[in-house]
Amino acid sequence: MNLLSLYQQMKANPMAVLQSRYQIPPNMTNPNDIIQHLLNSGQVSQAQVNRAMSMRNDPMVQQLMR
Amino acid sequence: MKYLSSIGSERRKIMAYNPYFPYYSQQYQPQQSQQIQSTGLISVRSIDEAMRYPVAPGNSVTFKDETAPYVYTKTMGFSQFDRPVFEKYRIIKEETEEETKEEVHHECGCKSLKSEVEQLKKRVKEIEDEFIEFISANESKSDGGASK
Repeated sequence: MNLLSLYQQMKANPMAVLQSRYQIPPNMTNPNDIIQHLLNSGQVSQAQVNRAMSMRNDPMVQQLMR
Repeated sequence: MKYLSSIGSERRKIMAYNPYFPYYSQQYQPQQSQQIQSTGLISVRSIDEAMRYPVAPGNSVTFKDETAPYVYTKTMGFSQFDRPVFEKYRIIKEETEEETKEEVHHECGCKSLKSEVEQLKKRVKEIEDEFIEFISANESKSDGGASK
């Protein structure tokens, strides 16, 4: 799979690409459920999740979200 | 990566291509004795947010409520099928030594003032009684003289 096709797939259906890449069940759409699945399968660590979840408090992120 | 280099190349190949083996990342930790791992304090806006927070098996996360004086902990067992243990703690301010000393000092000051006032009252009463006795003694003397 080359980069161009990956880019096209991501543009068309990003969720499908991520689901196949990280072995996420297709019916799983809730973000918390997806994170829990990634934690259970060991694909991400608790520290990574904590860092990601605390990004909402980051002033730079808050500025970007406005 | 250190772990990868320490195992044989054959085993590495098996681990790389075995579909039953979970996703192999640089963050992979070899299984050690099972101990609950704790992380730092996470800020949450409500107890619901803490209850919904994703926690990995064998981990414990501590939360600080931004809107109320509570701390929550969510602990996941080592099995994915274990229900998480959720605990809620209330934060109570403990008075410091300086604050207690100040209070005691303040109390002592009041107490000594009170006792002084009581003593003065007692003394005034004694003087009053003496005065009354003196007057009545004088009156009886003068009455006795007048009657003669």
